[in-house]
Amino acid sequence: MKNSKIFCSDKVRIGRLYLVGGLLFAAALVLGVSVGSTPLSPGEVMGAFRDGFDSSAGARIFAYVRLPRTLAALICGGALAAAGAVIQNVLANPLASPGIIGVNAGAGLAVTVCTALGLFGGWQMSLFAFVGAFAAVMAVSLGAKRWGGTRGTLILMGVALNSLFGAMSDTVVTLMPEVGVMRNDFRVGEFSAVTYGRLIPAAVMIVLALGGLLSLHNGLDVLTLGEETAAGLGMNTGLMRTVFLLLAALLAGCAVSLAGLLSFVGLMVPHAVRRLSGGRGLHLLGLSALFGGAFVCLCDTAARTAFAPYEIPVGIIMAFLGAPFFLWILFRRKGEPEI
Amino acid sequence: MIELKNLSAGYGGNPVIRGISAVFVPGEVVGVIGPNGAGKSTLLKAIRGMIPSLGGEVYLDGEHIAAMGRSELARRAAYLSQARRCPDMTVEQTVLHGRFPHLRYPHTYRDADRRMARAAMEKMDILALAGRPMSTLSGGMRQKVYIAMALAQDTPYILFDEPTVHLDITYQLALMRMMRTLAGEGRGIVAVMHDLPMAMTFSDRILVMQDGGAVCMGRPEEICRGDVIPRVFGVTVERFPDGKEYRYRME
Repeated sequence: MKNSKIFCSDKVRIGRLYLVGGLLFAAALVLGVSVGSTPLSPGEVMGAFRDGFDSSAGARIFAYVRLPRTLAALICGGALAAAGAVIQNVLANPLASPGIIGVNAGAGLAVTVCTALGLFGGWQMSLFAFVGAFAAVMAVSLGAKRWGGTRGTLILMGVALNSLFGAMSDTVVTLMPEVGVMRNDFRVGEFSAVTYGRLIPAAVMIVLALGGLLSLHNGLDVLTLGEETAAGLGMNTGLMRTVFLLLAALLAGCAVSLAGLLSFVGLMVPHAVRRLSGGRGLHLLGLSALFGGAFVCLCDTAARTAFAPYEIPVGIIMAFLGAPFFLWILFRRKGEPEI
Repeated sequence: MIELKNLSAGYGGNPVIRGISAVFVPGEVVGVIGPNGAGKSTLLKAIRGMIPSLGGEVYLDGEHIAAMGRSELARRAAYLSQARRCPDMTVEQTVLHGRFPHLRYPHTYRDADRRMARAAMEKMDILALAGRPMSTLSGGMRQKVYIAMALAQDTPYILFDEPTVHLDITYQLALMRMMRTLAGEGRGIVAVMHDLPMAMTFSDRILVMQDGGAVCMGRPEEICRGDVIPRVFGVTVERFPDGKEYRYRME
């Protein structure tokens, strides 16, 4: 009886979290498309759907500026948060978010190379970014296996990889100044240059990767028990680690191809969700995607309205919030549950 | 029956265990003892096919393990490793993962799996803790949860790698009694142990290992009578005159 009560209350708690996450996601979407230097009323938004995207100035702002940007923020936030949750679980390290261990930087380098090669298509950028992110995350994973994935080791590997990939990107930009993709706002992360041509390929790949991860959530939980225990349960741990990291790289890479090097969302959101919902993979992934999307979108809306008429890259807000959070995790007391 | 024929295994092509032949039968507790580095843990992993064989064979109920997949092996023999994390999940969720090898992609647990998990928790007397996070449990209770996970795995054999490590004496004794109960139900138990008197008291047979090889295998009283223990460990173990229990002889 007592157990069933615990079980029920757990279900209710998770249900409430999904409700709150869903409402926040919807609120972020509505605010994202309606708030800005030119406020759009619900009537103007409905009018864009009813009369066509070119029917008025408001409809054009909605369809070609606000909607792609808002959707990109929602999708990228969800993707980076879910990628962070997966990477933290697979590497068993609470600091292992895509921005910190160099995964975003790997994707950024690949996007720079892609642009330098004259490839500007959305699919090409997303694929290049995925390859860069995957190479980085596999380098970290193999390094963690080889030298031990303690918190400190992983951060140092991240510092090294971030510096290396940053230097390589700078080299490309120095030698080919016309490659403007590594401009300052790309390094910080922002959504002002999002177009449907870049959004749709990245969104398709992100949705597929997230679907794949959700279908493997029990496997992610088993891997969290530790390599030997997971192997004892019949899992091919090497293969599954690679599959999980590949899907996480797909999420992070596609997000970077849209938003640039957006940091800390992959660290903060999974941590907060883990505290609220527990570490179970299904809810960790689902809620991280919901809250991550809402969080980045709300931050982006704040970034373009707080200092109007000036607009600051959303990455600056993320960094102001994320850096203290990172330090808090780094120095918090031991004895908390392992990932 | 688990049958090892001249088994060698190790890491990176370097053998850690060499030429081991032994038989483990259902309904029996076999204690594997040996000094540090003797290859005890490697032996268990090799039995489960978790490290590559460098020679010899392992047969599980007459079938060569090379012919079995990972899940099939996990359905036949549960393996509890030494290194266990404290996962960020509840007791019930942890135990339920014992059913993982019985499922195919996407590994969605069924009602029958939940019933098996709850039965395993009941057996280990941890059903009341089902909703508790693992991080709130003591080391001994966590150990019980992992054993419940192995029970939920529902295998005819269970391989324990140093199950009593980090446990206080009460939990150690309770765990050893649980092993005897499991053997009484017809399961084959193979357990790596460090405490020689405890291993001899609770095991039906003892496998003594040294430097990657099997020194001898026999009933505890036979092992105790011979000179193997002083030769391998540099200590002496004696049997209480009026019972089945053993103790170190202080000289």
